[in-house]
Amino acid sequence: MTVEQPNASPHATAIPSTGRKLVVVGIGVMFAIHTFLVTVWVMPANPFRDAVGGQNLMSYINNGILPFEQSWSVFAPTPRRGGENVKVRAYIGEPGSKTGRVTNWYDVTADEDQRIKYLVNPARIHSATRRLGGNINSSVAQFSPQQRTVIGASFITTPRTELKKMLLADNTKGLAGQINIGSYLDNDEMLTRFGTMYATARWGKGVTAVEFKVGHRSVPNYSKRNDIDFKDVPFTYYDIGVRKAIPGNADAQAAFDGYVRKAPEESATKGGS
Amino acid sequence: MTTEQAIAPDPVDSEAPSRSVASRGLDLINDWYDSFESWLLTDKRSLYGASLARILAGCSVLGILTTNFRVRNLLFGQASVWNKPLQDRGLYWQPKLVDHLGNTTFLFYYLFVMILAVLFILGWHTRFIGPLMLIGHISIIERIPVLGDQGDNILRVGLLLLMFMHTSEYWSLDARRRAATDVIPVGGEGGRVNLVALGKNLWNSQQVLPRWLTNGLHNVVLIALAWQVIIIYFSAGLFKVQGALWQHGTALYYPLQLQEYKPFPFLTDLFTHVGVIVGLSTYAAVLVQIGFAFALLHPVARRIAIFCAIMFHLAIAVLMALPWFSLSMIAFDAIFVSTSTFVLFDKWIRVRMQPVADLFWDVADPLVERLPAGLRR
Repeated sequence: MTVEQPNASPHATAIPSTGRKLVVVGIGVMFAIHTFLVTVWVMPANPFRDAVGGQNLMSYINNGILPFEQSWSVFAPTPRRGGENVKVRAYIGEPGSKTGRVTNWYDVTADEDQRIKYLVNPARIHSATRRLGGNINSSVAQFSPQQRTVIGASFITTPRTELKKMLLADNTKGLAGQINIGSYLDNDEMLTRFGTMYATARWGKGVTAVEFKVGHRSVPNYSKRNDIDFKDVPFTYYDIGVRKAIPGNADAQAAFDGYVRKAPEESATKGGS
Repeated sequence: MTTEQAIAPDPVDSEAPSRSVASRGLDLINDWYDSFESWLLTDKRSLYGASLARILAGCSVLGILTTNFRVRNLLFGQASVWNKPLQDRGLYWQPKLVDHLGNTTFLFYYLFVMILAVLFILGWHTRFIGPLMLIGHISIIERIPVLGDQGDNILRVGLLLLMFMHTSEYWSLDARRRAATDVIPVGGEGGRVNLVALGKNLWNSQQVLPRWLTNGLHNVVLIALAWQVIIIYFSAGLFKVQGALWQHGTALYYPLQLQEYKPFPFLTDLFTHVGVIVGLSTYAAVLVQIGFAFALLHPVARRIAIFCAIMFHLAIAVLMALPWFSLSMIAFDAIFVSTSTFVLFDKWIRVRMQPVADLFWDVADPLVERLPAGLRR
């Protein structure tokens, strides 16, 4: 068999002079340093990272201009083995008042599941509550019983800054605990924003507050894979208390209106509390 | 034959025994250096691979944007305000470009970036379109960091490196235009640079910078991209071997049960029902990732490794509903395929696709003829 070769290259040139070689060497050194730093960044914890300095490395990778950020611990060391679920209900009108009402719980994640079935290229929005629910579950799993009670409380008139203060007051895990609280607060706010616009699209205008249940279930052990169906495993829920609605602008709401299925006429609890 | 005759030096190679091991070692290093210097500076390498990487990476960008088109406002437009806490701490400046666009303006911006992706795939003025597409892509995708995935990482990092490479040598409109035009000399009177000629050469995708520089740059970045792909596999493999479930050969079973990674339940159940298949696949995933770099050192092992990597990603695409991540990885794996393989493939595909190409040009040429002269290329 003959080996096919390309035609003569139009880019072929002689070995350049030493000065020109040095220019290419300079480019090479630049890319070599970059590549070394990226390598140290993506590898599991290693002595080179300590030598370079974690903060130095982070400021190089996350430089704000060139996109170098990356991470490759995909499904490792421990693969994902938990499913999430988010349910939402909305308070229309003033919560607790005679004119206000509260909707039934709606399973947002189940709706997302329906939308991704048999889709090999699902849109990312169909992972929204799964991702937020997963993040919240990870954070809450590390919370103390007191902190779990705090997140289950209502923050309608009390500003969100108080939620942060109360969680920090119950923090017993130092810096790691603070980071976990920061992560929780981000996801709590994202879920509230998402839930507000979602609920407005589903139940109409006038949503003043939203409330969530965030569930988790684990994939049955490998040895039981042919006996128990993952979908039959019940969720264990954390209660996320009532949160004051955070609406978006008209364009944002219009986008949710076009995506969310409208609620059928339902009996709502008057003056839900 | 006497003993003296047996140990007498060969008259043709009379100096050989006198050369020390160190001397021969230095000669070997010298040969390696000469080979590497020639490889690095005298031509652009892996041009077929770079061209295919351009096409497939462009397809990934287009695929991601197309997949999310109907929900673009929820994800990337005004409604993406729901992930404001992470948006505010975004790692990149590009998303600020679309911060204030309303739904209608954002639609046009989104379509514009999709068109850029199409042009990048076709290789139309790749030098200009590539950076624009990359900026446009990041400006949209990074509006929603909370829903990002590893595919975004490889696409962003790989595309950035591709921008420094010559990716339009094959299968591109740039190549067609280059073949139809000549390089215009840019040296004017008195050593001045003729900027008009320079601009025309740029527009015609002709050589502008000296070859020694572009060859060196292309090859250096090719090495950087190759290393990037290698460390992706290697680090991912290292993380996996630390995990007990990967060691036990059952790790793949767990994520495959989750709804988001189970688009075809029957197919997945078929896969996970037999333990041996789960075990083989789990170990194969680790083996391919850890061994990829080492397999590249041998021509046969390299072909096997690339084939396994492509199969691995095709399986991820279908079984786990991650097609654009998989396509991005395959795109950058393409740089490891040898030129001779590409030449064979090129000939094979050209023969089979000739009727389609003839039909395309039969339709396209009369249309192009109607365009103003300046737009025909």
